[in-house]
Amino acid sequence: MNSDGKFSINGFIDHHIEFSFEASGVVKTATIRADKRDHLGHPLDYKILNLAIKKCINAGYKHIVIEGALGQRYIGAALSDPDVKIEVHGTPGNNLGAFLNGATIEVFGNAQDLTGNTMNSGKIIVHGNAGDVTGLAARSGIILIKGNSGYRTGIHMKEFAGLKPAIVVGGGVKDYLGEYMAGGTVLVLGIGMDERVVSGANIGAGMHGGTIFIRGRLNPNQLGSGAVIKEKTENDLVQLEALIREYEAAFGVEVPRDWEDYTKVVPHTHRPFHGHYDPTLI
Amino acid sequence: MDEERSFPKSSFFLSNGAFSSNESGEMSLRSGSMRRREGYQLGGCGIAGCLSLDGEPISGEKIATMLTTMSERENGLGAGYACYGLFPERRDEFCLQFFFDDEDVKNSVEEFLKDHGNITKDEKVFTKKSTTLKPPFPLVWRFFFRPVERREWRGNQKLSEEDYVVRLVMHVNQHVDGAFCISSGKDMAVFKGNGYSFEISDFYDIQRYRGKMWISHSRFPTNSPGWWGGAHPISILDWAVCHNGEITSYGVNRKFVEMEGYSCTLLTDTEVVAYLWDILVRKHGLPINLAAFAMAPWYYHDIKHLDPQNQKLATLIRVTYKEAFLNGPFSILVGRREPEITMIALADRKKLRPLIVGQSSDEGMFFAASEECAIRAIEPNAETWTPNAGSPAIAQVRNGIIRDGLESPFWGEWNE
Repeated sequence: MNSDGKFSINGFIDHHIEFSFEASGVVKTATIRADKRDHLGHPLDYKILNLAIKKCINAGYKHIVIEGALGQRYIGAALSDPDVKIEVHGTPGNNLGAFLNGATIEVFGNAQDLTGNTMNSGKIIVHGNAGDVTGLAARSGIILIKGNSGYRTGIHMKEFAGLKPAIVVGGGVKDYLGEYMAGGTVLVLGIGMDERVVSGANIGAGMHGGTIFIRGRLNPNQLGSGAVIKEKTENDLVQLEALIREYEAAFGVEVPRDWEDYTKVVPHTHRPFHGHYDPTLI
Repeated sequence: MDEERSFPKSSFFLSNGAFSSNESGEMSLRSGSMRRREGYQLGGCGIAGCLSLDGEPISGEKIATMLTTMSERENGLGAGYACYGLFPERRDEFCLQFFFDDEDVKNSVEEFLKDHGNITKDEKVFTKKSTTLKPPFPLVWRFFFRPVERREWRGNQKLSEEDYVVRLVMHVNQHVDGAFCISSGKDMAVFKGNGYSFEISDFYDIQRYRGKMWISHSRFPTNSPGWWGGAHPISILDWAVCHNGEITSYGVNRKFVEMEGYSCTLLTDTEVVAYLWDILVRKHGLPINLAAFAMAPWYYHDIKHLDPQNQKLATLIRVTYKEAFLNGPFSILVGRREPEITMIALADRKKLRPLIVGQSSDEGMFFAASEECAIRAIEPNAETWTPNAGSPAIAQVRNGIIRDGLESPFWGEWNE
């Protein structure tokens, strides 16, 4: 990277990227402008943007601001330095923070689909809404959404050996919340929403691990196959309190602790397919 | 899709853009194009649309910006734009746009049309000479057409002027080699072809057109060939459909539209969707939300929870139109002109494909797209929301947003 904020990729100078650097404070900040379009009208290519992020991290910048994101995919994918924070202004594309491995990503806007796809650890904070399949197959880390999330939030989440992922949604979610869940926690707060539409149909369909908490009225016919409503335990309240504090710290809002309004959904059994397998059929 | 035709009906059919393997065995898309990326990209079609709620015309530049923003979603095997409110001075005439292989075919189709009505005006659709698209290009021609009133429109056949035009279009698409009708509606036209969205907008110089509604599509063909006629929007009369996904019930749906006198000639599953809208809404008179319910119905075990009256209605639609049920993942944008320019955005009943809609902050425009970035690209401060699975969002010029896609299908209340 040279001093005027251009860098070379395989000998190809890309003129879209403008950097500005600030090293006066303790944390070195790099700002990347991503909003310019090429002569064909395409936004900045996601590969170049992600390469720019990596180059900034390699150069020792811990705080990276992306201005004017417009649908670039895989932003912050697989970043593993827990001290690195990516701040995104605009609309990041699908797979934001895929395979995230320790870093923090904060979005001041809405995220699209597949946010935090298979993330391993770290934190994703979205100050707007998220799209469908948020937190797909997350293994650990936390995703905090201030607004709503779409269909299949928390699908296929899992936990192993003390690693527990969590998703907190401030608004509501659509159908198939926590589908096929195998571990972790999803909390839907339904803040400021009509309690009948906080969650959709088929909650926890096919789940065999993990816990879903929903604040709002739950109609039993919204539950998917294999999911049941259970009473909360003291331990659950401790967990809820911890997640709510994370949410409050991220967005500076206050969440009501009316515990009787929080419904807990868990799998009916940890082995939903037990007895369905017949070795003589092979 | 299985092909019925053993030989190409048109010489430009599959002549460019079809996957061809080169010696090294890897897929090559098209030579000679300004491709941004090499090789096979994971994608998924992109759809984008914008509608002027206040009736102010929208430049084609806007829709091209929306569509090209989602360049990750296409692979250069088709893109297209449909513009509504394009010919206000000829609003009562059918605008028939064709792909022709050559002048001879054009002349024979022209003779055919003259035998069945009056051509009030015809012209070459503007296309740029210099383009990155791979030749050969079809000749794109536009006829303004009034069918001569015929006896069979009345009497026991219950045919209308529209039915008659459908017959003419089907005849050309089925029987005239080297000719395909790509749009046949009043006050609207389709501009499509085999290339990237930016190439097609450049080829037709889309920014020269202004309309009250645009819907557009960039293609990532999965199981049907990429060719000029197969690009979306797929259109019949004033309907145009842009589709992301797959219609796995294509065989059943195709039988249904063929029983109604339509023939599928474009080798793509989306074709049946366009014909279904025409049958259900124009011919059978279903309201749009009921037609959407027929295509993306609730499960019976969910229908059980509706109130008795809506339960009966839902069941009747499911049973009556079981062949119109679109199975498989899809999100579609549907454009229509009658009785007013309308956009319908609909996702399948499990929401297996992305769809987001929005409204500009001054409430003058309505948007729909696969990805939010397409809306933000032209309207950074738009308010966006996601319509529910199987629930159409409907917006109309001058009548505003009729349905935001969050309601129950029959407007009924959820009954406990």
